[in-house]
Amino acid sequence: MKTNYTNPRGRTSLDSMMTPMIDVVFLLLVFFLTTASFQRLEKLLPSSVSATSDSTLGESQDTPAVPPQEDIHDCVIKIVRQGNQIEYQWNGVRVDSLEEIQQRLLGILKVRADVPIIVDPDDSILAGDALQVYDLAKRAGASSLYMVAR
Amino acid sequence: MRVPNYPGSRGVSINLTPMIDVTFLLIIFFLVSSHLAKQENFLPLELPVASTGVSDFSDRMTLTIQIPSDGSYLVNNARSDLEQIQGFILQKMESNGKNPIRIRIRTDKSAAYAPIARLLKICALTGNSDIVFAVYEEGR
Repeated sequence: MKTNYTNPRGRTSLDSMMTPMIDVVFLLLVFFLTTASFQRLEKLLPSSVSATSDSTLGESQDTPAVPPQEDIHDCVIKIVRQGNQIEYQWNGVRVDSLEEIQQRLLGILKVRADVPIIVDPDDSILAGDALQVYDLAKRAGASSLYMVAR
Repeated sequence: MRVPNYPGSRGVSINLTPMIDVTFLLIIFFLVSSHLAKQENFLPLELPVASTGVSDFSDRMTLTIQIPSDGSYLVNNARSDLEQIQGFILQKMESNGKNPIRIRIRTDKSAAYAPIARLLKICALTGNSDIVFAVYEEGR
């Protein structure tokens, strides 16, 4: 690296002035390139666990079991696969779309905000689809929201 | 580095440029190395998308379990089965004064729900109810 010095006539050489500036500019460039995050920002989706009635989860006292489906105080949103299609069931009754589930949730949560909502995806359902329903219920304002454990 | 000393000039002036160069280099080194240390455990996964995800400002003791699209479990980038995971959870709880810990599930959105359901059961059996899913923010 050249140093910034004056020549015998007392003038500063342009060449020697530019070098440290380019050094610093390159360093800043590398700095911003390496510190810029190219990864998508991850967020956290808090979740609770519920157990299906047929599973052996007797030891844990703090996790509620899925209630019988005739119990109107709980809502079980089941996600099942029918061929290539995903089917949603609200307390055992087929629901056409996610929008309908959202409408039902909004209606029921308006009456009682703490009604337990249990999302019960089949084993073959993809995690993305399961969490989509969970997110929908959370967005509708459900405070007691559970994912099923088996 | 030798600074030329011409006859007539008064002594050697202090040149700050190399010092700034070195300082910047050190800053970059520490920033990059700390960034890598944070990211080393994370597998590149296509996370599910959610609009109700929150930023993590908690300092709770956390165990991250990753589930790639094949449905296997990875803890600290090593393949593990459910028994081993239960061991990891209990070990972590032990180091947390036998208190429940946070369990962070990083699952690929194309993984089946079955391994998640089984993992959730292990979490419940060990008395951990603080379970969070890593998600991407919607629309970004």
